[in-house]
Amino acid sequence: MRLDRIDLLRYGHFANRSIELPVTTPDYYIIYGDNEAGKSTLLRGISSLFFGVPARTVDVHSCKASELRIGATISDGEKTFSFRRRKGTSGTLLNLDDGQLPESLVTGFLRELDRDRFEQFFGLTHQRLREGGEELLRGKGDIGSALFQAAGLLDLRTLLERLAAETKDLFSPKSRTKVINCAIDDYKTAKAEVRRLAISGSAIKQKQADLEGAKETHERLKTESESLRHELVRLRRIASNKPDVARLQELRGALLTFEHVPSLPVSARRERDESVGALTEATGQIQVLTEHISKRKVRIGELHVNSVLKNHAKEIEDLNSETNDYHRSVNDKPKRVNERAEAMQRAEAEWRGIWRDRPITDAEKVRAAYSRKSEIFALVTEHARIATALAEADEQVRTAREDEDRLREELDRCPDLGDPATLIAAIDQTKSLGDSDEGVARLKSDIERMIAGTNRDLKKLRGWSGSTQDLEALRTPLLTTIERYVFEWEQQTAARKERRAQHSEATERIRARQLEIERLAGNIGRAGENELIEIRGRRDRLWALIYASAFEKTLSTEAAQQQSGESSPIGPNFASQLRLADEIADVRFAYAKDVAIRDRLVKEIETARRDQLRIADETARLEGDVRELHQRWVSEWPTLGFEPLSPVEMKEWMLARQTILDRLEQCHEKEEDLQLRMDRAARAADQIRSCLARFQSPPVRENDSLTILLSVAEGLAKELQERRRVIEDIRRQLRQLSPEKRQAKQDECKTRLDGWAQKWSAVVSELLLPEGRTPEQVEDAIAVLEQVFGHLKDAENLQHRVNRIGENIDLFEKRVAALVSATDPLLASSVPDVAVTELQSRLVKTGKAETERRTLEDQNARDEDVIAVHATKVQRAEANLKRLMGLAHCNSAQELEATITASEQKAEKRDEYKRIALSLIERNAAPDVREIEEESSSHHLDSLQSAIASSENRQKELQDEVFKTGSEYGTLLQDFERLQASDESTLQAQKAEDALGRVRPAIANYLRLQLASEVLHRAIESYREKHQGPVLNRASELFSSLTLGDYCGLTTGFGDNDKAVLVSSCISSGTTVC
Amino acid sequence: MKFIHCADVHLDTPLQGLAEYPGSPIKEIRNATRRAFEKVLDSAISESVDFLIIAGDLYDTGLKSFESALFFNKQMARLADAGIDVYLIYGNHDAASKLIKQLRPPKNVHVFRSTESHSFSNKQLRLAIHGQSFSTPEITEDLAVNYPAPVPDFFNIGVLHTNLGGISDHANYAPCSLQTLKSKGYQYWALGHVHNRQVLCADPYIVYPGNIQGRHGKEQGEKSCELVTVSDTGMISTGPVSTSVVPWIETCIDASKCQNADEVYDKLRTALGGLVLQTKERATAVRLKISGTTEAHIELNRDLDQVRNETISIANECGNGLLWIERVQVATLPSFDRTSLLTRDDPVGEIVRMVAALRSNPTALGNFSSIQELRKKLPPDIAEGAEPIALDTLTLVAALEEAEVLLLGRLSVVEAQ
Repeated sequence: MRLDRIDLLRYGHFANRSIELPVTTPDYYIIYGDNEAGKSTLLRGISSLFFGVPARTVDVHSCKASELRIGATISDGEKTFSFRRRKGTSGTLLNLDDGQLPESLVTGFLRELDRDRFEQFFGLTHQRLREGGEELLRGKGDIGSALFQAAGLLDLRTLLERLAAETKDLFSPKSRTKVINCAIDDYKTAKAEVRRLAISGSAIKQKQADLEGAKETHERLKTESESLRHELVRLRRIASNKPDVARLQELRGALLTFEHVPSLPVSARRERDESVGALTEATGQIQVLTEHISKRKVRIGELHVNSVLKNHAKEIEDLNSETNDYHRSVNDKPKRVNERAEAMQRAEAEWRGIWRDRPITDAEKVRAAYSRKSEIFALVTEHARIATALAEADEQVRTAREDEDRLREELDRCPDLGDPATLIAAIDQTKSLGDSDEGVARLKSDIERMIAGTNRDLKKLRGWSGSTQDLEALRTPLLTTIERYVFEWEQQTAARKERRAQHSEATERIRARQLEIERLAGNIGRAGENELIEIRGRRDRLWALIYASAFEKTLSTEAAQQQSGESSPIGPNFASQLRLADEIADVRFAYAKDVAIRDRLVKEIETARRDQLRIADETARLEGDVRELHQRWVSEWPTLGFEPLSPVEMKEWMLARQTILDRLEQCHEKEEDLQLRMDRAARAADQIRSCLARFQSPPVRENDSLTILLSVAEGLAKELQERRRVIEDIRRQLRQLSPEKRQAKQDECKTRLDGWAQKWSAVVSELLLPEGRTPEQVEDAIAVLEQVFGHLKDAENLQHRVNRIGENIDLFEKRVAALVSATDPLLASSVPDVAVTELQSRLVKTGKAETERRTLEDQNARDEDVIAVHATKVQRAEANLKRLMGLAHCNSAQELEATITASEQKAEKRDEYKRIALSLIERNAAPDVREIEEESSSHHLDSLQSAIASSENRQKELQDEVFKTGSEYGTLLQDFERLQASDESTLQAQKAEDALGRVRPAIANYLRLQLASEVLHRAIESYREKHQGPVLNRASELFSSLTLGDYCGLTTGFGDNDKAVLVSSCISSGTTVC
Repeated sequence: MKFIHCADVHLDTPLQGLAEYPGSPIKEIRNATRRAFEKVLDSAISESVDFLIIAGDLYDTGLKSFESALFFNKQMARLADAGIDVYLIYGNHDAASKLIKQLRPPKNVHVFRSTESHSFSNKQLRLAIHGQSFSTPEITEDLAVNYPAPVPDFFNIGVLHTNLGGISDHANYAPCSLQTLKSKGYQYWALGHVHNRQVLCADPYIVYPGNIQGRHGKEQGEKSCELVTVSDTGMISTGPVSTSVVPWIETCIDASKCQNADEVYDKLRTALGGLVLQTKERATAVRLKISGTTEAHIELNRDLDQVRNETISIANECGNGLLWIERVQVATLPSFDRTSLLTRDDPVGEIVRMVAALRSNPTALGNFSSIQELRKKLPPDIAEGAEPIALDTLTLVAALEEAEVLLLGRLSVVEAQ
């Protein structure tokens, strides 16, 4: 990018000034000017133009901040861009009509350049140069550090700063917030707290004394309160005794009046009342019961009982209960006789069904055979089993013969071709290779792709025209060497860029200053300081010549004219110069400000030109360095075949080369893999082909692929395996047929059948059946026999029952006849059951009469016992009344009543006396009442109440005091216990130790860091002393240039604190700075 | 007869060197010596001992608050309730403390006079206890020489605060010899002053029970009091009863086979995990030492703060909140050849030579202005005690060694080498 034009519309003291910078040869401009001409303003303006006007700028003084404008036209060889910049925070890039533009339009031209870099490269003002020199002098650009860094320890300054920062974080003498300062403060605070919280011995003694005093006071008051409470209790007791004592004395007087009354028992009245009541009730009861007994005796006489019937009561009742059975037997007998006949008829009918010519009586002949019917059924079952087995055996023999014929035919049709194990092994082995065709194809594809990629990369490899083999064989420097070159290259590139920027900046400055001077020329023309000096010089020279020729006469007029070098006469010329000088001085005076600016601008232009010269020298030197580096760089690539690119590019080139070589390596590996796969596939195909030939498989073509071969082989192997399985199966079936076994089984069945036939004929004859009866017929006969024997059994049972009924009827009639003759022969004419019923009726009546008689007799006996009891009660009541009268010394009921009443009153008063006396004794805990009465009589009630009231008041006061002193004592005790458990001081001591615990590692760390920093500083200094010579010479040259020649280079010396410092002397002022 | 013998209680002395950090068991270390003393008394009560002997240094010299004395009196009241007498002599620390001068001990506490040796006897137990307290902090004569003769047919116990045989770790106060003690004819010597448990002789028993709670990193291991049982026939059996509330443990990590710091941390994790099992669920102060000639030397020493923080993190992770990392000492040695660095003609060689030069003149280190500024700021009293903080030559030389490793580490010279 280059600046074609700068428009200082309103910026600093510039207004509507434009600086044109057209392309020239050589293409650079020097803008120079005197001090204050505006060179730095222009430089700041350019910075603002590209990167925005800083918020705080010194360039707003001839217009408002919002009106500040600076514009430019820039180009990069392809395009040109004109724009303006205003002051602000956003949208400050404007077009020529002050319309807003995107920032990217400028940044596209600037590329990576930012404000810092711009100011570092192009923004070096005079002031910054001076500052840089002074910083170097002050040691901030420590030459020792520079040397160390040059030795490869690039982070030295960072390390030093970090060490300093870390130590500063830990400790600073004046700080209170650093780790060590903080911990020490904490320690001191905790220690002070320990002292503050420490409890002194005297304080504890005082506390103990206070505690004991409070305890003593509290105890004393408690004792006093207790004794007062006892007194109060006594007084209250005496006061409460007073009414009881009075009542006691009153009762004592009343008891004296009852002295003559006999003391009857307490229960005298109750005894008297009970005796009178008992006497009255018992007398009445005796009378009533006597009447009842008489009436019952009359009724007993009226009741009649038959003793004969009573004697035969058991027989009568038995016969009466059997009467129903008798009636049933009489009715049942003919029915059973008929049933028996029917059973016999059924048995005979069944018998005739099988044995037509034999009588039913023959049934008993076959009963023995029938009894063994289970054996007969077993024979039938056995026959059925043998017959079935024989049928099965016959069938098996026949089937076996048929199967054997069929299997042998099948075996003939299916010959065995041999074991396919070899073929299967070959197939498995081939399969283990995987999909060989696909693998091969994939590998081939990979290889082709890699070769294409390698070729592509090879074409892209800049400058390279050789083959991959050449590339592989190429001798290259080590990567570290390239890195080193990259570093140096970048350093040189940056330095050259910096110089170019500085040169451009100087050109810009000169151009700006010139423009400014041109602007100022409108007012002051050529009334510059130099012109003035020149005219004044000329004036003074003319005056000296005039003086010499006219006054001193040391010089002739002609000689003076000749020496003046002017064609015009010396006098008018002097006057002209004098006037011109005055005019210039007047103009300068009139436009003093512009004059000053112009003078400054002129000086700045001169400085800028010097800068340009210096920069040109440095650039030339840098170019030499670049060439030298280039030559060295080229020498590192002796077999490259072309001019090596820059180290940065060659570094990338090397990486690209390595990528190609890596890919080639991979390609070779894949090719080897491909070959290996193909070899294995060929071997497998041969093996399968030989196997196929051996098993007479369908022919395969020579060029069939391994996959086809594998498919054919697998089909064949499967078929062979299936055939072998079928053959084996047929053989197994043939082995399992075994016809001999089946024939033997058939013969065995026939033998068993013969044995059975012998047993069977015996059974048939025993059953009286004709020969040749089949098992089914015999089973039918046995079933008939079962029916016949059942019917015969029924008939027999019925015969037994008829006999038993007849016997029962006869026995009943005999027993009735005997009973009738014994009890009432008149009933002999009646039928037996009627006679029995009559006798039963009579027996019931006799029983009822006897029962009533017994009941009445029992009641009479009980009543007689009750009468006896009542008679005893009467006697007891009479005796009691007699005793009570004796005790009361009276003879009548009225006198007894009066005496009892008086006696009761006397007892009541005596009881009350005793109760009150006991209560008093109990309450007062005194041995007897007399003492209590004396104590009571010694206190008057009024004075007693008064004493109680005053004691109560005192008691209340004492209780308050006890409570108060108790609280005080409790508080003191709590305080003391708290003191005993106190650990505040101890905890503070622990806190102090905690702070020390933090101090200890922090100090160790601080010492380590501080000493590390010190060691590093000293090592740098030592190293500097040993190695500074050549470096210092070069630095001295640079320093002189940097300070525009104001300082005469650098030497070493010692500062105020004996520390080595750089020293330089100012040429103009003669002062030395450190 | 049964009794407990303890010594060097140093009541209310803070535990030294433990800086609080997040996750540290701060609650557990509070009043550790008090709680250890309570454990002694708990044992006395639960074992139903007949009496308790405290063989000096009940308090610490620096204690100024009488709250410690009040605490002691209250604890003695517990023993009084259980009918247990206490026989107490004052040691060098007690003699320097004003706590013993102003507060009367409870009635069940029998304090031996400091003016002369004398005896307390108990006819019921047929017991005679002889002793003498320190009158001043520094007693240099042998007090045992003037102890009373044994009472015949009694069980004689000598209570003495002494540096027997001149043990170098402890101040040489009231020095005595084994021969002197044996010649007295007592059956048991209850000694105090030395903080490690030692049974010096079994006939008669001469026992240092050690202190009851470690107070700093140098007082390591389980601390205890001595439970002594005397049978009717005069047979003595004795054994320690653990009293440590916070035991101190030093663990060494051998980093010699470690290639980098991560491997060291793995070993450290394993070691701390094992340590947790030994803690018996008590807070434990751990001093870690990483040693050995290792490849990780530079990496570890590059930032020791980071090593400490990593260690604390691991301790918090696997310590169940019981481990308190008191100190992490990286004492590894470099695996590279340091002498070859000395011969290098480059900045690294310059640094190593500079360190060697400073090491040869260690007093110059103390004259650095930064060191002097720090020295001025440090309170003078922290340069005392068991774990002093002092900027003395030894400390500075050690720091210089560490500084060298730090510089080499941060300049990555080893990699360059």
